[in-house]
Amino acid sequence: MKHQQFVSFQVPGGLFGFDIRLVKEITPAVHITPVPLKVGDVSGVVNIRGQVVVVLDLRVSLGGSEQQITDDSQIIILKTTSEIEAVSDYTPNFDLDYLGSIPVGFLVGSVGDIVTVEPSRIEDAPSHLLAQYRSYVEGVVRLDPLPLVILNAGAILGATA
Amino acid sequence: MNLANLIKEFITEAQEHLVTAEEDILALEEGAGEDKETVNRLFRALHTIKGGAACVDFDRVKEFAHAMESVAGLLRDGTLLPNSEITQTLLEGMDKLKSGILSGKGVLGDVDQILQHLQRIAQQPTQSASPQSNPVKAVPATIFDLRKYDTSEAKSQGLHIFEILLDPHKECSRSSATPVALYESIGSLGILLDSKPEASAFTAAPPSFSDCSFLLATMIDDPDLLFPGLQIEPLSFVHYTPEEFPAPAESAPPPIEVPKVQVTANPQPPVPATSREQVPASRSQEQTVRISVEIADKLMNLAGELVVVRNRSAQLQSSGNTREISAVNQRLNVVTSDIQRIVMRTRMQAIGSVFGRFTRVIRDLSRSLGKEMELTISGSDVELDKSIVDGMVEPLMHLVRNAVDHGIESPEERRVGGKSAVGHISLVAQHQAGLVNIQVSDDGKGIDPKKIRAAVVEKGLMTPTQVEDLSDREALNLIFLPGFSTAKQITEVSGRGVGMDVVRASLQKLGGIVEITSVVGFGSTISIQLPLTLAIIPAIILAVEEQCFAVPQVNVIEVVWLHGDEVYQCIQKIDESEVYWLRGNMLPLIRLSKVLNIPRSYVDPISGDIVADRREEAPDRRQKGGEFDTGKRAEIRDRRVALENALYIIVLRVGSDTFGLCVERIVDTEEIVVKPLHDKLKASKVYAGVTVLGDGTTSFILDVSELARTGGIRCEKTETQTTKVLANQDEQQKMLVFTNGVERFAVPLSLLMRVDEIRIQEIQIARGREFLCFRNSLIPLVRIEQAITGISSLYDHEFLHVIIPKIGQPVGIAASSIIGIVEVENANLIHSTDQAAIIGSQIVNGFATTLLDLCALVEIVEPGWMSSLDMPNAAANRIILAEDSFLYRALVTSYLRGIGLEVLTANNGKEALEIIRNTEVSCVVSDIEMPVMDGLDLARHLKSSEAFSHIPLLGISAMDEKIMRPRTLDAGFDDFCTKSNLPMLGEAVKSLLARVREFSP
Repeated sequence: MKHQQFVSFQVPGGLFGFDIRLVKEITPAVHITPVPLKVGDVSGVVNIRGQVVVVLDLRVSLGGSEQQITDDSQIIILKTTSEIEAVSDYTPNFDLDYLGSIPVGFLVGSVGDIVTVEPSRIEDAPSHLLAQYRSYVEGVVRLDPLPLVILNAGAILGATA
Repeated sequence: MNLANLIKEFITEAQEHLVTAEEDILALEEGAGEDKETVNRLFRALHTIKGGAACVDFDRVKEFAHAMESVAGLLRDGTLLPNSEITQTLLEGMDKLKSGILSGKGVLGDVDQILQHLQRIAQQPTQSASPQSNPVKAVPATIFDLRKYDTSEAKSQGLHIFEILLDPHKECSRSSATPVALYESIGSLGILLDSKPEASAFTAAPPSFSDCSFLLATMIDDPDLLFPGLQIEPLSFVHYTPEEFPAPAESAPPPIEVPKVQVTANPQPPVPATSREQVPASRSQEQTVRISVEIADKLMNLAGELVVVRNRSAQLQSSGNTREISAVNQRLNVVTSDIQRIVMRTRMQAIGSVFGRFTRVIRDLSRSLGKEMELTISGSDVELDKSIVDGMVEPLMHLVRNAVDHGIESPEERRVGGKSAVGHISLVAQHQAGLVNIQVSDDGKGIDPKKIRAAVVEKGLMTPTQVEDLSDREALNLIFLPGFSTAKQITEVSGRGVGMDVVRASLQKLGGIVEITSVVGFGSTISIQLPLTLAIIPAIILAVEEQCFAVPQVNVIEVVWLHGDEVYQCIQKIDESEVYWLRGNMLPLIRLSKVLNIPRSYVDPISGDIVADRREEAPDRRQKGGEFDTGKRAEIRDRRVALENALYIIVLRVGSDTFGLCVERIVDTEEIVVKPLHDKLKASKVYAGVTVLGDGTTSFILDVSELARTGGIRCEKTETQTTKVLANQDEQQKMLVFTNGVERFAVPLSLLMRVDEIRIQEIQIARGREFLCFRNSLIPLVRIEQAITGISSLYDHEFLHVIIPKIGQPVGIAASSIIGIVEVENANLIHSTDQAAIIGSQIVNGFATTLLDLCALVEIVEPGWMSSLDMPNAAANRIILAEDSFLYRALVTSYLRGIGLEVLTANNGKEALEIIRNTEVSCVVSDIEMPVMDGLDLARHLKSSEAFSHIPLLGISAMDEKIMRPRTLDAGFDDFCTKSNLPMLGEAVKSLLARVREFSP
């Protein structure tokens, strides 16, 4: 079985990962334009080379409180539906439409390594997680000191959309 | 290319063909059967659809398209003549085809009945008209008996067989080829099954036979393609489609029985059917825009130019040559706007693509409702942004269906009402002042405002008193209220739960404004105003604290700048709500920072830190008293952003309402590129879009109506308030005030074209007179002192202002300086009679100001310059003006005399009536609000009297045209004009006079 690669990142409260094929780019969390009267997990918008990217606070998405933006804060920008479609050999296990046509980025505390694992090492989410939270988790990989929680971007985007 | 992409391509292509095919079928029904091109186009469209469907494995679609194509083929060959049965079947077929293709799955549903119908139609003529009767064939000849040849191979490959009769001499001489070359060239496009004479007879020598025949099996199935491809002009030919290949026993097998033919004519490789399930229907309808090669070329050139500019700019970067850099920037500016313009053009689409489909809609509806109807379409070539055109389909469909269902009466009712039995519906698109105006009108029974009022009250949407206060016009527009529907019975056609409120909402989403007018018994018109594009719009950029927001300029009426103490004095507070008195009218205010809940801050003057501002708004503080006295107020203002202690009120329009948006800073006006909002941001409601500003920051585009709603401003206002407010302005006239020497003069602004500043040296002298160069022609310069005695002439040595009126031929009126525009009220005017060029004098803003009679002034200095109207008969251009305001009477009289009319004047309706009884006049111009007898009474008097009812009446008023026009027309006036615009008034009078002349011998 082929190895899978994940972009790992820290959000206060844990170590998380997205499938690397979902990620378009990672950019420092600067010049975020706040959204007055914002609703839900929106943190702001940011201009990436003329494209307006919506930044969501991943911690809020996962049910926590707003993150403070620090020098280490980064935005993980995901590919859009059509960008994923252009890659023929990759189909994520959620409805692609959740990614939409306007790029979305997640605000995270800091970005770590690219983690390469065998699919056999990916465990299911423990059954005693809160149901809402559990639906966001695609699997768990044992790493030290913190386990890597692989997130389902579609479920997160779909839940609050 | 995988199947998914192929399907996308197919759908895009098929959509175009489906549209043209449907139009063509309708044209055939209208009797365009004679027009060969129509039938050909229909055939080709169906054929292309069939071919495409085969490529993407839509077998059912292919079969079905084939059946339709066969019928179209027979129509093309003339063996079948179009009748309503055929067109009806074809149209039903088109619908099935359309839904099958657009679903992206190629599933047709239940089509067996139509299919059988098509087959029956297709078989009718094949019995009576064998291929010999095909009109194209000059010589009915089948030299080869197809049954002798093995056609199974050709059949399995879907090849067509042609029997071609040629004149070898002609063919050889035309292409200067030898018979053997001819033989080979014919064989090059297929398999030559046989020839007569035999192959050996074709030699290099001139042909020894007078005609020759070929039997060619080819993948080309259209003779119009085949023969040009072969470069031959056959004397005759016979065309066998694979279905027609005679099987040994059968003579005419039904065409649909052999659908499994792989269409090899198409270059696309067949695709494995297994991958089909991967294509979700929703994404297969990706939108595409077709652009002309010309546009693509232009873009290419501009892209090239852009590269050149970039290279140049890169070179200059280090040089520091500012002059060169600014030149490059200019170039960049030009290239960018060119690219922008052309890219916009690629998005532009003719509204005709939407209008076109209504021919069919009207046709179907008239059948199902038993009403006779005719559709007129004009302005199909008006172009709008694709997104707007696409968004117009649904609302227009609703409006047209409404017009058909509720507007047009049944033929019997129409006959009883004295109208022609055929109802008329018209769709008109036209450009109007940078917007596009689309009108849907019908000549049906119209909408009765009384019924609307009653319905609104009955449904509890408004109280009876509220409703009574509304004008008829406003009452009509109540049909756009949510929850309103006048149809007593919900019919199938319209009123399927979607009301006019949805129409209005969806048009508003496109930036459109919709309005309805109707005359009971004569029909209704719904006008929609739309912007040309939504992609790039001019906007005002505002800032609250550090954050910028954009407001589309369409919504902005004006900006009021308050500074210094005005900020506190001019804004008043009623409870928690602030208001501003804008020229006497109350304007509700909302503060952007408050609506958006942005915490205000200021820089602490001592520490330099940004500190949250906990102060309430300005008036509140003043009321607290003591804490901030007037002298200190300037210092404690927000020192960081508002250096000059200012506040901007942006006066915004939402529908017919206005409100003021207060901000501390206006950054710029900019053309912004509107980017769509992500769903997550749509939840915030107040944003219409997002954009990237010139400095790279992202900024939100505010949705003005949502902003008003969030700010607590309710946007349904009744007319009474507006009328009251406008009545104040009734007797006001905007004037340009200027000085000549020490004296002040005023002229009506509406008569002026422009005001220029010139150097004294620019004045040219010819024949002892002064002239100016204006738009490449010489115009006389008029100095006031030439016309009015006793006026000092004191001019600057260097500069002179020139006022150019827009009446008659252009002249320049000299002024030493321009004071500004003021609204002059009709009070305290000191009338002067001794000087023809003066209307009178009055105190304006504390200065004695002389109001000039422009026409008389110019007439004195340049006799004959102004009057351009030449009328033979004195009575024919004698009009009467009834007007109580002296100022306005003088102005209008002066202007109308200027355009060559004889003007009698009256102070009120009664006086006017007296004069009309004694003197013959050709037109009556009357004010509405007058003492003794008002304009409406005058009109009723005149129209009810037999002797005077023929005299055209023009109503004038300073009040809002929207309100006054219907009122005056109801009273019997022939036309209405606002007072503020004299040239328009002049035009209205002229056209009324022209109408009189037209009707009298």
